[in-house]
Amino acid sequence: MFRHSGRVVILGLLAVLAIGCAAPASNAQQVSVQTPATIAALPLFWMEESGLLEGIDLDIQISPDHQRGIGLLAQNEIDLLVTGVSVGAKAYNKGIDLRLVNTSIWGIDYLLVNFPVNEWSDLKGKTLSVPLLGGPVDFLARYFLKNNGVDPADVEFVYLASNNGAVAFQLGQIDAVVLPEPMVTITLNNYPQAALAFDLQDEWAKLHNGERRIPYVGLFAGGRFAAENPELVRQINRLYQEGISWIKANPSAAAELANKYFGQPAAVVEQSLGRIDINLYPDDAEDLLELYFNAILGLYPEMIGGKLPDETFYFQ
Amino acid sequence: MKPSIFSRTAAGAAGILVVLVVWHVMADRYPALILPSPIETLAALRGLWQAGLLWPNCLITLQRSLAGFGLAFAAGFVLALAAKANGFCRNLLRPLCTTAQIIPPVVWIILAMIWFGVARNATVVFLIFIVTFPVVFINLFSGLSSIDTRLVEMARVYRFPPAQRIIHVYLQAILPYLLSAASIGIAFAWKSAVFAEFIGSSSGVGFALSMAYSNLETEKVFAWTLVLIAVMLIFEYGILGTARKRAVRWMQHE
Amino acid sequence: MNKGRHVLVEMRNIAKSFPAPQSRLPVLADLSLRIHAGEITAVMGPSGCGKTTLLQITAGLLDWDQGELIKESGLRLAYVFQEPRLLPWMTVEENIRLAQGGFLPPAEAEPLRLRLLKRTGLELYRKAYPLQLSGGLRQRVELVRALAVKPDLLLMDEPFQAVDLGWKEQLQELLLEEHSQAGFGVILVTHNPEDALMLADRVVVLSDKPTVIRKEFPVRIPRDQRSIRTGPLLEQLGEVLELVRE
Repeated sequence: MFRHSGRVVILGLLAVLAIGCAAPASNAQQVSVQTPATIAALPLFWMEESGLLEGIDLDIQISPDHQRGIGLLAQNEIDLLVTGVSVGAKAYNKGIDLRLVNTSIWGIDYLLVNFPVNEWSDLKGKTLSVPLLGGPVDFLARYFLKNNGVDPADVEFVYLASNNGAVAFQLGQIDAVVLPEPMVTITLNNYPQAALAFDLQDEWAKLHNGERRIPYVGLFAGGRFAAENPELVRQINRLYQEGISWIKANPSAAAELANKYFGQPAAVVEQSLGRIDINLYPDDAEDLLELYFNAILGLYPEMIGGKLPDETFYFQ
Repeated sequence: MKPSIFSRTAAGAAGILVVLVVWHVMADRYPALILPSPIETLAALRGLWQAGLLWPNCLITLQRSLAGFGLAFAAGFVLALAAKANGFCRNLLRPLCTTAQIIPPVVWIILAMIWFGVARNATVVFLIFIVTFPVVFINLFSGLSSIDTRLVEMARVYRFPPAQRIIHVYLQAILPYLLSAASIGIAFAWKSAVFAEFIGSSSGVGFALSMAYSNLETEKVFAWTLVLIAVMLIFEYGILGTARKRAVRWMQHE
Repeated sequence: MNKGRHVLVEMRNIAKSFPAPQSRLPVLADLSLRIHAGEITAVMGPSGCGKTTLLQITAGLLDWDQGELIKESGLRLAYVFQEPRLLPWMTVEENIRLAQGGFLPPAEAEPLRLRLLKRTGLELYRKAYPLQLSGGLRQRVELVRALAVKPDLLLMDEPFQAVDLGWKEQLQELLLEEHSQAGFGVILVTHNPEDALMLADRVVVLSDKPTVIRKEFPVRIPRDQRSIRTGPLLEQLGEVLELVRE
């Protein structure tokens, strides 16, 4: 009997392997999405866990690397991508075939300082950290400085990734930093000298007749995927909207979700939800995006590839 | 028989040509954002030059590399001598070097940012130093250990004055190791400079590279990469290669 | 042939042992020897008995355990090592010049150097690097360098062992010429009894470890009359061979 046991084991392993390989291919359709570890990802996790996406296997990859995401989307290695709207617009204008399905985050960034600030001019001669030279936060900072009569050259810009910026700010090595939630809440909680100088959304409102919604993050679909699966994309969009409603109705559970997938402390996430505008605004979105893109074109045209994205950019 | 300069250059050029052709063919299949072609890369390079970004950033990174390398080499030399002469020093330094090498550069960058501040030259120079020093030290220590004591004895009997002994016996003996340590050290210094700037600086080639990457300007990423490679080659073959050739003339047996 | 008789080096009851796995290995037990100016002393003995150790102690390269070593102050030494010790990154000429540098002004050093190089057939190799030369050539350079510094005492460790065929006699002739002109002392370590008897004024035969002097005797026959084929030298040769073989 023992002479044959070896052969039995091998056959058994092969069988398991065969079953394991066969299983996913048979029933569900694989849809893969890349997203950074941000609140805009939570509706996706919610819809996957709730099982509302029948017959769809949602493969969610967490990565902060939007260059990687664009690359994968362009080669149809992933189907969906959550990333900054300006990133998607630039990629589109540079020839990448993608569609904007929705814009979900309209308020998330805040300016924190560790010295008394009442006006934008108080930032003259101070160090201000933003993540990326030529990126959306850099744009907003310079936009507000200029429109409040301050020459951006008078402010010492320092370019650090958000987490490094937060650390440097807490160590007192820089005077001001623009951070997204929940880093804002974490920093305010840990660093007594930190103060919220400006709500960037309020500042935007002052310059745009009270309109405070700034588009930050959106859900994009690969062009070919959208063309071949229009109903599926619409369904995902509907479920995404429901996911947002669920987050607002169940902040604790949503925070738990963030903790589970991103390792962020749940209490902090729940606290930060109050300062994040997560909504789809399906009727206003396109106009608000054009408003935003036009402001960009006036200051940093290369940031979105030099022109407004045309109609095909927006998934219908 | 050693191949002639002509045939060696021809072989090298042929290799580069093959790479360029393959690159061009592959780039045709992708938009510039994913894989820019050689021509698009060169155009981006020219754009960087015309915008006056090329040389200033290179200069900054070069300065930091040379500063970090200089410190690492000086410290490596002095401490290698100390370790050679003194057992206690040796037992102290070798595990320290190993530890320094095991700690990932990312961690060093974080520490450097805490100690020296964010986006400061000292931060970048420190990383270069801490990454380059162990390599230089180990190389130089090895070289010192291979000095032929028989030649030292000969110099003693014939009463070479100390200065002559140092120059003609010791330094000459370790010259190949000095050059090897320098060559390896400079390569490390340059690469770690770019890395440090990528993460923790607001200036220099590494920073420009990371900005181009994050802004989806892949042609610029490739352009900067070409710059990186070019500088590396100049160091290796231009400066050090010549020095090395002159130093080892005597090694050629006939 | 005017031999000065002042003592260049005196060894009194020198003992030397080396560290060994279990304890120490005694090599030199009790050596007393006087080396005079103008005198060629051949040192022979069984292999491993400490001949090289003796030279190293005399040269100041090695310490000793017991006994005294008295050297004339300012004694200029030259050493022909058993294996050539030339700086490989300097040419033949530069090697010699470097050794001469401490002792002779250039005006004197250069002609002496050239003469010796010519005499030893090395003139064409002046600008060669040691690694480009054969072992025999390098050994010749060793000897030239030693003579070129005009030493007071010349230490030689099996100097003719690695020399090219045909050159041994020439080099020995050169040694004797320079010696008769300059009158320096020589300690010649050799295992070749013929060389010892043809060159030396005095032969010292060492015992096996722990080493003492077994026999010491002068070679009184004038050099120009020495021949190993006939005569009293043959007898002495036979004697020495027996001593060494025991």
